[in-house]
Amino acid sequence: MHRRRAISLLGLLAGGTALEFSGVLAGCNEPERATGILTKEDIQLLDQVGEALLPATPGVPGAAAARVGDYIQAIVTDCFHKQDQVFFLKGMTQLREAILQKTGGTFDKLQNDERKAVVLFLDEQAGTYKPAKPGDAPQHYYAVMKGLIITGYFTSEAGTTKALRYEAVPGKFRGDIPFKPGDKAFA
Amino acid sequence: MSDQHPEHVFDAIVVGSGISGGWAAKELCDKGLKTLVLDRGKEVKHIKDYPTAMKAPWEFPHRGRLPLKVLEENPIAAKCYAYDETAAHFFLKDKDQPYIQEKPFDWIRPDQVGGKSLMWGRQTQRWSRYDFEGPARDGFAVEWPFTYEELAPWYSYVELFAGISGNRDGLDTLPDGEFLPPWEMNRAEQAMRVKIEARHRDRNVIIGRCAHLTEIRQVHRDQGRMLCQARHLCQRGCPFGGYFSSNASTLPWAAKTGNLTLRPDSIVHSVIYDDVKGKATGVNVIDAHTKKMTAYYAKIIFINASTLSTNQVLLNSVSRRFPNGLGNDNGLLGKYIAFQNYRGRLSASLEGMEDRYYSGKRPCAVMMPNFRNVHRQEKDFQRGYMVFFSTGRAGWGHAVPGEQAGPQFKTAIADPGDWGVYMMMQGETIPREANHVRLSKDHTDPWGIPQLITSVDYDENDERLLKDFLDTGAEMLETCGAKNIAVTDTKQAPGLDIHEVGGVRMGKDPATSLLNKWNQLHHCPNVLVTDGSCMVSTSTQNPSLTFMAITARAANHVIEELKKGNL
Repeated sequence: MHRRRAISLLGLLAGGTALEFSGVLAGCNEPERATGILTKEDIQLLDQVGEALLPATPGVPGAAAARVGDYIQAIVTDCFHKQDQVFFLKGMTQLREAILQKTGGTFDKLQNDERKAVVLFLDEQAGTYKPAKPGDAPQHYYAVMKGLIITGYFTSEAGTTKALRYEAVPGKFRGDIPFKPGDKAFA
Repeated sequence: MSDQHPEHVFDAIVVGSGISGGWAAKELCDKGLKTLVLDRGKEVKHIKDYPTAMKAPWEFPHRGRLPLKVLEENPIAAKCYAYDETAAHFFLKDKDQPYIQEKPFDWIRPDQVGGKSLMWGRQTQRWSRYDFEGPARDGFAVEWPFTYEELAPWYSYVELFAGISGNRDGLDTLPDGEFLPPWEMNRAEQAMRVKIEARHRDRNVIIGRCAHLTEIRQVHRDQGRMLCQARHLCQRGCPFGGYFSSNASTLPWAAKTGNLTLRPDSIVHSVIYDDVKGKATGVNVIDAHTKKMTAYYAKIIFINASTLSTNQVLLNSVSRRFPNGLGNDNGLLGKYIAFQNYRGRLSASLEGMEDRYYSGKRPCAVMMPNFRNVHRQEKDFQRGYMVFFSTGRAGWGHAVPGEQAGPQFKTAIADPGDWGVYMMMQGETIPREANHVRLSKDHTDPWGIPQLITSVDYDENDERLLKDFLDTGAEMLETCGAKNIAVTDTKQAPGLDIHEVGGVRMGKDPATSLLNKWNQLHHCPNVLVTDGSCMVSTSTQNPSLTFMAITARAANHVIEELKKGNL
């Protein structure tokens, strides 16, 4: 949407100044993010964590290209109960704290292997998490994020059509066909 | 009828355009009757009004999940499996359907022309003679006023037109019909069939029978319908016309005759009874938007508003002759409501077969026709249940061992996982007088119509039948070598099965039934009821095919009566 607007603006601004141009192009390069209770930075961080979890592989885009952050924004903003929203927002803070504690910096400054190490560390924490006292969240915040990233990815266009086999109109049902390792699952 | 606006006078009126109303409309229009079809919902034209039908998963903002606000505003509709972001627009909003649950009852209702036929489950078995003979043999409700043999030609009649897929299994517990080619079982289902049938000689494992076109015949071409494409997105409306609905089939067919007038947004308030003429003359209709009341008139009137709505319309049709509701001399109108017991669910995992898979989406499951109390009473509960099961491989996102991030993880969770099986029941319930609906004296809906009070519950028989299914289901899964068997009682309220029937039952005796064997009200024979409310009992089968057959039979009979001048 923004992109289309930006291109038509370019036509209008053909005689404009370099400054105006740079502004339009910056808007063009930055994808429009879904609005809601998460900040733009939250969405970017979720995209990056998502990419560490489900990275791009040859011919198959990763979670960032699938824009899982936007999906999570839509779900957390529109589908979550208030207390789950509070839990999720607190989780974003805890996520940043954990990253800082583990690496001394922010996620976007890390190399890919460092990012993966952080995600594996969080996964281990989530796996052993048990509510200590009444009132504690039943789940670790990363478990919820991981679930949302996976759902967002495999229901995205990239995930559905590239990571899976998508048949919009199968035409028929075949009840018994061979499956060999390397075959993709049907979406 | 001199004071009646000529545009408001028809040969026949059909209230409701769902699966049975659509069939009434088709039969009446085909035989030359000028027919008015009324529906409380909005117009939904085939293909044109299926806004989500061709959308890809990622084109839904929440990928199918409904926003919390929508769910909180519609807690009843939200319980239905098909009520999601792809199909919510076809469900009546809770605020538009206030009713009083004296006992919990989930009343799932549509909001369009075509009714629930647009988002129904589409499983279409004939009833067997054991189903029809049940009440008489086991001494509950009343005897069915006709036999399987009497209905069988009408089953054939509707099957040929609607298009029913199925395998000719030769079972007397589930009679064969006029089938299009059957759907296939997958490898795991085939394996389960062999094991279950080897262990139990009285149990049959067959592929489901459903209203999907697996082959196109001329009559389907004439309806403009195409082969089912195995998308299984049916509740969005099918642009191929791959499954039977009023919208894709009976209503456009009726329209082509030139005899159909269809009025959406028309809420029927009551049937008009003329005390002098001694018959019904029309219906009072409230415009859903302007709330203006208009009368429409006809020689015969079909009430096919859906089980509970038909009860409501008839209870609200009071006159000097019928102070307690139309045709209700015996006080049984609204009573003997029954439903189907869906509470039992099982799931389990199956080992092996990693080299087998399937493609496309099949619109039916595997069926096991009832094997309890079939030939004689043998258990500590009455009647029985249909078992449905289906197997499949786990989809994306299943748990995988190894590193929990990175390229290998991404590939592993996308691969088809282990095989699993899901099993459920469809139990017969015994119609009881205490299970009833009635009109509220204090509360009306937004259109001024008295609200319905639902007072319907499970009984001890249902609990015993449920226990037997859960025990038997688990045993059969063990027989099949399944692991991790999980047994669930959903404890769901009656109604969520969306198979509610009764309240205006048929019967031979006017003292104990409302309708005669031709679905005419005993005491007002130019009013017919052929939707679920006419049913004497529930059987273990899905009901819609039987509604279709009963409707076609009744419509053709009443047309003959009309010709003979008997009405």
